[in-house]
Amino acid sequence: MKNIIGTSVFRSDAPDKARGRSVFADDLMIPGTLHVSLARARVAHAILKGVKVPPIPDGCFVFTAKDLHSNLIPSIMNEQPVLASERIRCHGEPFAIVAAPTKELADSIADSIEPELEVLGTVDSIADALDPSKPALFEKGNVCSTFHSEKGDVDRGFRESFLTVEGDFETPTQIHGFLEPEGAVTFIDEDGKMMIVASTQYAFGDLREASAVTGRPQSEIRAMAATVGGAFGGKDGYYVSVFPAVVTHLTGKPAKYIYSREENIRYGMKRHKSISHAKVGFSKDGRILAADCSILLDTGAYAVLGTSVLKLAMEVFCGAYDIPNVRLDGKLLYTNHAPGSAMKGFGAPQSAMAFENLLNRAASKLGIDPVQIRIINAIHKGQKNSMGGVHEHEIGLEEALLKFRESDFYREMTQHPEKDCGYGIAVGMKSSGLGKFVPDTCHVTIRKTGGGYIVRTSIVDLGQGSRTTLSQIAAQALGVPFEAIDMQMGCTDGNPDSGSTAASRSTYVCGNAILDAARKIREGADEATGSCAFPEPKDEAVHAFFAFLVQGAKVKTDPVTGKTDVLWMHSTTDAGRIINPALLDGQVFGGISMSIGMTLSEQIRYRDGKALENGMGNYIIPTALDVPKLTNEFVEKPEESGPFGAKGMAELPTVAVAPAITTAVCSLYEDLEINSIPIDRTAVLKSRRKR
Amino acid sequence: MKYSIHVPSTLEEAFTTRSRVGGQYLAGGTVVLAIKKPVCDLVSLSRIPGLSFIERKGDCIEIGGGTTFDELDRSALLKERLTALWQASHELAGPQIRNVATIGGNIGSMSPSADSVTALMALDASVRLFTMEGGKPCRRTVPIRELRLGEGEIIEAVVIRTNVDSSVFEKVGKRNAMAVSVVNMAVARVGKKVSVAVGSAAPNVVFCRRTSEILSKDCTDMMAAKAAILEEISPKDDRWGTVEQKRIVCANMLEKLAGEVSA
Ligand SMILES: Cc1cc2nc3c(=O)[nH]c(=O)nc-3n(C[C@H](O)[C@H](O)[C@H](O)COP(=O)(O)OP(=O)(O)OC[C@H]3O[C@@H](n4cnc5c(N)ncnc54)[C@H](O)[C@@H]3O)c2cc1C
Repeated sequence: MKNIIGTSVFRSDAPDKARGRSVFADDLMIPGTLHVSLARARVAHAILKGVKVPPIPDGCFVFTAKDLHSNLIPSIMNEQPVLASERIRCHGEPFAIVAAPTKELADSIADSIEPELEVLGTVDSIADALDPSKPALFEKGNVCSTFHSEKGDVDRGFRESFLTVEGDFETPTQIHGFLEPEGAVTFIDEDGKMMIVASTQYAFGDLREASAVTGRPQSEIRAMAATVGGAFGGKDGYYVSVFPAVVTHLTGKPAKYIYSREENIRYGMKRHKSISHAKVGFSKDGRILAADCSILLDTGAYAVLGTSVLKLAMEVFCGAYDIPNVRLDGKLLYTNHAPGSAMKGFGAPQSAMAFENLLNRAASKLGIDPVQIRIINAIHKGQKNSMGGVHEHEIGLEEALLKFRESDFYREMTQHPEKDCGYGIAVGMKSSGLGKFVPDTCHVTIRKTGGGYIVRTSIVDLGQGSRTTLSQIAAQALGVPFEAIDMQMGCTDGNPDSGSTAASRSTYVCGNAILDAARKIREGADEATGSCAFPEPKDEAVHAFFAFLVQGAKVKTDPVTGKTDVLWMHSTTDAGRIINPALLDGQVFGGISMSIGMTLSEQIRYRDGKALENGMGNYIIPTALDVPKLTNEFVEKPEESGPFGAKGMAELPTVAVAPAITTAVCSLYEDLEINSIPIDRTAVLKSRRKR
Repeated sequence: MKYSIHVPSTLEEAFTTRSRVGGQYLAGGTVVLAIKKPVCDLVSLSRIPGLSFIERKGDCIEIGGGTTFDELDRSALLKERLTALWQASHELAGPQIRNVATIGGNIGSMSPSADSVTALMALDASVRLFTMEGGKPCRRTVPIRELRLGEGEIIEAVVIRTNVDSSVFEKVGKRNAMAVSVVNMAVARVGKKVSVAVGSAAPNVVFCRRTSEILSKDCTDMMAAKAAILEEISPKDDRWGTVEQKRIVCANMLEKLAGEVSA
């Protein structure tokens, strides 16, 4: 049998997608469908005293909080209502669900529903959230959660330091920018159960949320992921399928709700805006002796997955390095903005912006090569993390740095830089798995059929290609050709719960569960369930293991306009054994594009709680002409516990892009320090260019 | 949203239909159909023969109002003779939009960031307008620098003299394609006479008369020219850039483009 692990087999979802045959949630047309629209708040902060519903036409419906079995989105903080009933906490917060035979009618009814409001002052920034004179969104105040950890003697570390660098950094609110907005279709199926077909990362999440809110038993609901047109964290933890589900539950009729692009941009989940401060002390020969890192994250009106984002941002802040003395401080803050939640990178890009920029500045002050300073400090298996816990899993950071140093990129940067071009590098680190105290198990089943095997999992192919990689793992484990594997994915019915398709976990945890089931099949079973529990870190740590990468950016800036063009990004990735190199490249290149957007042009700006950006014409994502030459290589240091040695890496490539680019830009100027993104062109224009 | 689209086959019919039903002309629709305000009646110009052409006529080039930017982008004549307009067409939006967006629509949109308008102003183009008076078709030709579209007037063609020695256009957006100009600028030279126009730096695209005069006298007097252009623009902070940024970019671009046309 030919080894198919490590080969770029053809993506199994590609033919249907290329021919337009894949069925997305919005493609489902069920006769008699009610179209759903939400009555949304036009202010960002108010006491909601009541909702005035005008007379509505026959065949149309309006539901408010009192029609719900439970008005609570199940979440970590359990503080987000499905429909506002007492308080409006962000612009666009829904307070009534409207259903009508056409979308136009539903929209116009939704527009006509008037909330009775007593408007409150807006908490419109991180600074406002910390200002005690501003109103509080919740009784407990505007601090949603905090993080603190201290290792070693930080103050002594700084006293012993030869050089200390310090800075304040800022990153913007970013949207996922998936092609297909959030949405779902619901109906009662032939068995009398409610079926939810959603654009989702986790059909069991849709099912549980719908059950909790409608009171319909979980056994009376089925959920499945339609073809999903991108998710990046934005379709997990908060499932918009709850709105059509309420309609179908209460009316018995099919219902459809698809976010408009404006709803997606204004009211969908966000990457948290961050303000961070870091101070780092170095010995003369470049050892990091102390780090004091703090971060403030804007989680908007509700936490959703924000508390976990804060933990991860802190854990990886300076986590790529072996540092004896570390202080970490973080706050997750409520504001009257759209909720911040999961987005590819999950807090790591925010902290890397601070730490990696400072590390580059220190390297230049110490006269040490930027790759060398990272080799000196790189974290290894067996060493302690920032909080004092021991790394028990494979780490290939040093290998990645050594390999990066052999690259054409590094050679060009150090030996023959192109005229007028700037170069910068940065390291990124991203965990895999849901983390400590969050149950993280995956179950799959494999059944033998005439010609091959059916593998069932609730993991979803979101576009990242997991249908293909998981098939490769199954085929290899069962000793059959790739084509003999029939992947049945993303469905609650008949599928075991594999957990969410999130946290860069699927390849590892689902891959291992497939290996477990395959072993039972090889031992003679015709059908088997396989399971894997994600390893939890033992002591002080949030996650058990991590993937790493080194990235280099080559840029040019235009002295006339201040514009930055990224010309080349080179990555060296440590993700254990690579299952499918082409798909790995896809993740790397996609993640880079996403973060080029955040570095150069993407941001949501709020004015009195209202997002200025409301469409793809003014929320500026990169085009093909903004994405540079991309090259990627990897070091294969197999993770012993991973399927064929693989680690999760999906989110990793977003992490180091911003500091690599900002460092490259600054290298062209005498007096430019970029601490805030997207890069301010005026600052670039006003700086003195190196001759 | 629901539209009624009227599809006349002559300019006369288009004009009378629009006067009867109100509403707006529809060319490529990339402005008309992209705004949220519902316009119920649209009078399409796309089926009227003879609105799409690029032709040399004596010492002029004439371009039909219904010519798409893709056609302009692919015109070798334009690239060679009217470089600024070709560059504006080449960089406008992206391929999908250029396939349908027309030069008439760009002018008709009255946008301060209409890229081709900046080029046409620097090139001292004229616009031939079709209207009806007393039931009779009539036409007037006005310099684009003075253009005020009358009620129902149709842009039939743009007329540009080819005696231009050199012309350039540059735009900067927040990204490299599909971008509204943060600032755009065109500079053209006919003999010693230099003409400068700027977009996205005032409520309308502006022809910078003073700046042009200064450079026409002495194309190396950058100090005076920069001071003049900063008087002639009146940018506001908007989502694309700040006043400070737009002023710096205008001054920088002027120096660069004036240098290029005089070289
Ligand atoms: C994604 C996107 C990107 C864009 N990028 C750019 C860009 O980079 N640069 C730029 O300048 N513009 C840009 N635009 C704006 C637009 O595409 C251009 O202004 C285009 O030239 C409009 O032409 P149209 O044929 O689509 O006009 P339409 O939308 O059909 O019409 C626009 C206006 O002009 C009127 N009109 C049309 N034709 C005539 C005529 N012959 N006589 C009289 N009135 C007429 C219409 O009634 C309407 O008021 C962009 C638009 C979009 C949607």
